[in-house]
Amino acid sequence: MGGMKSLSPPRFRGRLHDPRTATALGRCLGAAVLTCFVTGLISHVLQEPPGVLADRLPSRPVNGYRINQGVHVATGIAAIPLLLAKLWTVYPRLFTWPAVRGVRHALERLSVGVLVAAALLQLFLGLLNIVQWYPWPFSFRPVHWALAWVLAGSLLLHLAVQAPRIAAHWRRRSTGTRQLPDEERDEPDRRSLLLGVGAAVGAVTVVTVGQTFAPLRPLNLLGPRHPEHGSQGLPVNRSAAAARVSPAAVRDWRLRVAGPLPYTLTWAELAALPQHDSELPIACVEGWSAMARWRGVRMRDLLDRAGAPSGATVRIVSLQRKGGYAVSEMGASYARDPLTLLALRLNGEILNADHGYPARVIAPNRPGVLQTKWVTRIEVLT
Amino acid sequence: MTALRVMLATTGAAMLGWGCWLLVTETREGTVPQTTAWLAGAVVVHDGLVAPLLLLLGAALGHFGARLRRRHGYGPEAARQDDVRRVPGALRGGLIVAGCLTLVALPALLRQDQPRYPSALPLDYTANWLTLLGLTTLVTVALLVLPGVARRLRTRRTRAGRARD
Repeated sequence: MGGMKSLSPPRFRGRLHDPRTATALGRCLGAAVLTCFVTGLISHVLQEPPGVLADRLPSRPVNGYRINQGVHVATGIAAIPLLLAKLWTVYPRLFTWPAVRGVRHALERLSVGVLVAAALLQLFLGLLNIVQWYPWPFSFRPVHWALAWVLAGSLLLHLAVQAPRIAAHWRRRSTGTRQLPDEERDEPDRRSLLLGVGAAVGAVTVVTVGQTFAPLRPLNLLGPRHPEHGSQGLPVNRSAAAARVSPAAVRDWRLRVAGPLPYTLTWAELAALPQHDSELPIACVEGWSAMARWRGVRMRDLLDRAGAPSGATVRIVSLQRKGGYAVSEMGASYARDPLTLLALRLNGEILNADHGYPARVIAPNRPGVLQTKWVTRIEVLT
Repeated sequence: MTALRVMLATTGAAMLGWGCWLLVTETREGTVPQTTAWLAGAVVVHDGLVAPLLLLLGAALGHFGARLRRRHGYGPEAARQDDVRRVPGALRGGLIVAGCLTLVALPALLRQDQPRYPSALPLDYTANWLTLLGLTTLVTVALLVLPGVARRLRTRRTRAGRARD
């Protein structure tokens, strides 16, 4: 083996490594990535509202967060076949020779490298996060958030660079497509490949989306959650044991409401106040969701009793000693919503320990992590 | 077109820069080198392992298709060629579907014994995954066999029609 020969780039004689196939797959993949980016952005704002928005986030539609997160996770899963097929199509370009033809070319290749790396890692992180598996050393949320901007940004850059090529191969009859060598032979083969990839997109979607989309629930074979598996008819994300909420901690439980007119209530006193029913979903950031019937005291009734002004933000404190969001804030738009409850009952039964006994928050259009369980203190902030 | 491209490129570069800024400033210490290593690792695993494997598999399918065509493709019946030409495509589709289902099932299969929380991973993922692979095989075989069966039925019917005349 001559040293030079082993250094020369490999040649690809296989079919369909052409710009028309890349365009046909790329536009679906691009749409998927941008959908994931926008839904991710919405989810981020709802979970960590920036100061100016904190009291103005909409509490409608009731199912807003549920749909947003369902779409986010389903689109991410659907992007897996698309990304692999797209990278397969353009793989020979990795061996472009000469590897670098100047500064502009080097920058272009670097940006494609960033795009590929970010796309692969984002889908990998997301896929593992939905089964709550974290084999990496860094924290998931800030990295997934930062890489989302890197991925969407490098995608736009890629679209700008490739725009003429994409336009030339947008349709079967576009100029560039017609000028491809062997197009007559490749066209039916391409259609068959796209059908195969489309079938894979359909298959992975149909067997997972039932974790949030009720009509497809019977086909939920690979979803990490199933809305019907869980105590009191609802899945549990963090159990009382995992949150270190012991039976002793709730034995002498009192609800303390701090505000202009502070007061304390026992569970029995709380249960004697006017009770209201809300039909609201628990919708988790990991893409699963389930509807439930809740019964308890309206948050705004509790706040009015404490003499809270109507625009006040509220701090909710939980008994949980492990896991994030033990202390969280609820904006005025949620706190004043008539559907927002400090719930005592779930699907007709008193909350069990894993669902947040003695009392938990349930509000419309909010991520599951903010539906605080084991509530011990409500503070009116001014 | 040019103005739109410049706008896209500028927006893209700005978003990319913002992402890097978030990665550097909004994460705990050590995250940047860790994330960089995982990004590079993702590319190395894909470009060095996954993609070559897929290409090899594709090449093998191509050879298989060519052999089929040589053996059966030039028979007396032109229609038969169509059936033969469809074989590699249907097989490839079946393999893509089975592969992607496996990829999506893999985290659940590997973590089934150690869910972090009580109602996470509540299903029998091994059985469900095997069921799905079986279904994929069935559909693929049906796609391979049905066109031939339909053609044979058609010719039989035309022959029977001719016999009646």
